[in-house]
Amino acid sequence: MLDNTSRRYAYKTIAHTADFMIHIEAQDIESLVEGTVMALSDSMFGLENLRPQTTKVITVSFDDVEMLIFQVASEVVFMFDTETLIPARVEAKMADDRTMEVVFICDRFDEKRHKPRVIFKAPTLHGLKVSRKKGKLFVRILMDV
Amino acid sequence: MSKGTQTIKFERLDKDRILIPKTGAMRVDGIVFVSENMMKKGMDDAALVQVANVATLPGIVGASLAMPDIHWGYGFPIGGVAAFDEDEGIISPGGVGYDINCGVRLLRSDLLADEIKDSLPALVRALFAWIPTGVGSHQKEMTLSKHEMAEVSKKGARWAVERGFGVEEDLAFLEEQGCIRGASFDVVSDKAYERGRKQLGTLGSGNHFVEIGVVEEVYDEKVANAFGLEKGKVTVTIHTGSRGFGHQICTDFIPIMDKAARNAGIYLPDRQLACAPIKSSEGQRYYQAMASAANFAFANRQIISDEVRRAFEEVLGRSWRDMGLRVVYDVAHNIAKREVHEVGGRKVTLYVHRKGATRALPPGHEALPDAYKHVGQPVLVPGDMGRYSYVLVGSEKAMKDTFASSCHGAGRVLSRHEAIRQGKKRDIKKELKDKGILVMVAGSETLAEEMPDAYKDVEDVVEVVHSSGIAKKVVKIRPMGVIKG
Repeated sequence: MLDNTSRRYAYKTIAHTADFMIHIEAQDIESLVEGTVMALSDSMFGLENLRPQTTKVITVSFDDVEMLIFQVASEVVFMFDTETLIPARVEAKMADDRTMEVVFICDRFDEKRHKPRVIFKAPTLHGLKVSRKKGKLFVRILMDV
Repeated sequence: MSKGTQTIKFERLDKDRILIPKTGAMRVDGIVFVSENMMKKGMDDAALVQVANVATLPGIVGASLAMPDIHWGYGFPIGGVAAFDEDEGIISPGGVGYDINCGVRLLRSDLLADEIKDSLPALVRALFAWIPTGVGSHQKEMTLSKHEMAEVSKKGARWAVERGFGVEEDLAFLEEQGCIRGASFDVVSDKAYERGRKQLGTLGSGNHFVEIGVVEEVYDEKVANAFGLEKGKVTVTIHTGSRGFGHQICTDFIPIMDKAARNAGIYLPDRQLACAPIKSSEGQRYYQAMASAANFAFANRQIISDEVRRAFEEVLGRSWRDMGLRVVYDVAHNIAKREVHEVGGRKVTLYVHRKGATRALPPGHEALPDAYKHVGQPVLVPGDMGRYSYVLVGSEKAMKDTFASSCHGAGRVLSRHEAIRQGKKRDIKKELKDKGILVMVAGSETLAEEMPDAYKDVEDVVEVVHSSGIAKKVVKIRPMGVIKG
């Protein structure tokens, strides 16, 4: 099990038979998104092995926070599958109530430096639920591997 | 987090089936093909809950079904079969799965296993060299333009044959001749195009494989002869799907279907059951995109078949025709298809979702190639790389009881992490070599991830299918050499 803590978010992961569950807790929506991205990168290659080199920026429109998390996670999968980019750092900022800008600072997959621990193929909606407790936001997302 | 703590009530219908009676929001019963023996080995309650959840969806016909290789999936269980009325029913990406038209192709040959014994290491190496394999595998010499992707989406395996990957006669032996009608590339996203454009003719990673095998046992001589399968002769099995293209199409449509279900007032016990009425704009767009991915997968397996033939020619120095390396059949086991079935004495058009389930047509069916009309459709059921695979044949019973569907494989019992943890203490490659099975893998941890112990014994699954009569055993195939991603 991985465990990462910072001032703004924390996460843990659980492997199932054919998928991978990630739990994230954070202070606000931006850090919830950042925690999700970092949890995915950490699970795939280990954050300690990633060097921030290439910047990608996306803007996500969403109806609910669950779909925001789903779309950002699918972007991480897409970037790796098409350009072998792996987020080493991330900055998320709400543009308005229904739009978020996410800046990924990525490493590029290098067989010599990166040993895949798990490769995500897609996020799922199963059990995807954002909840609020004692001033913190919680989300769990199940990834297809 | 567990996948569900709900328990579910069921009763035994007969030695091969249990019934989940219609209760609450369920519109029909659930029926699961499973023996008492398999139940004793452990039944995933969460998967049974999913059978009941599927039974709540609008327009479901007959029963929510599951094959003996049932296990938990996203929304729909893997091993699930559900048919929906064209006018009143829904279509759901969760009922198809992420890897649209993940499927299996079997090639037969006139080669005796003994004849290739000494060449086996070279054959495995040649397969590995010819077929791009592993995480992010892509074709160095084949990047498709948007126009070409649109053509692949429309024509399926025929597109590959027109470019010299295989021959016209291969097409007759593919489900739907390797092309599902109704595909439209116009509804496919740029992202899906980006993910798929370099991946045609590649195997990918995970449980996908190409396997050289030998027919070890023949159960039905007449049907085996029709399929060209003989004891002691070499076969090649290809298991892969629509790669990132299909995954992205599923990912793109889940939020669309989530919203469509809400707009249509459809109750979803699990959000991953996201769906839309078949005749809605969203439903039709999903079908068109799904058919595009399905056709990409048929083309993918067609190109890989050609790569297999070239690898055999290179190593054995004979033409593939001389070796009799021809297609037995190609089945889709993650798909939703528009099919006509008899329900309550009348013919109705249904959208049959098979998620980890294989079509199993009976003898005489019009969709069969002429060579198989008198016996029925080959049902290809791969097991793990250390034990065996089966070829079954479809039956009239499947037509009546399961919308012409049967099982698709074994199913995992260990998580990938747990398999890697257990595998680290063992030399899996040597264990397999000691059993006469050579393996080459792309990923450093794939071998442990995919070791035989990570899977159920496919024989248990096949016995239930055979005993219930929805498909009958034809031959058992033992693996000799495997490449994996």
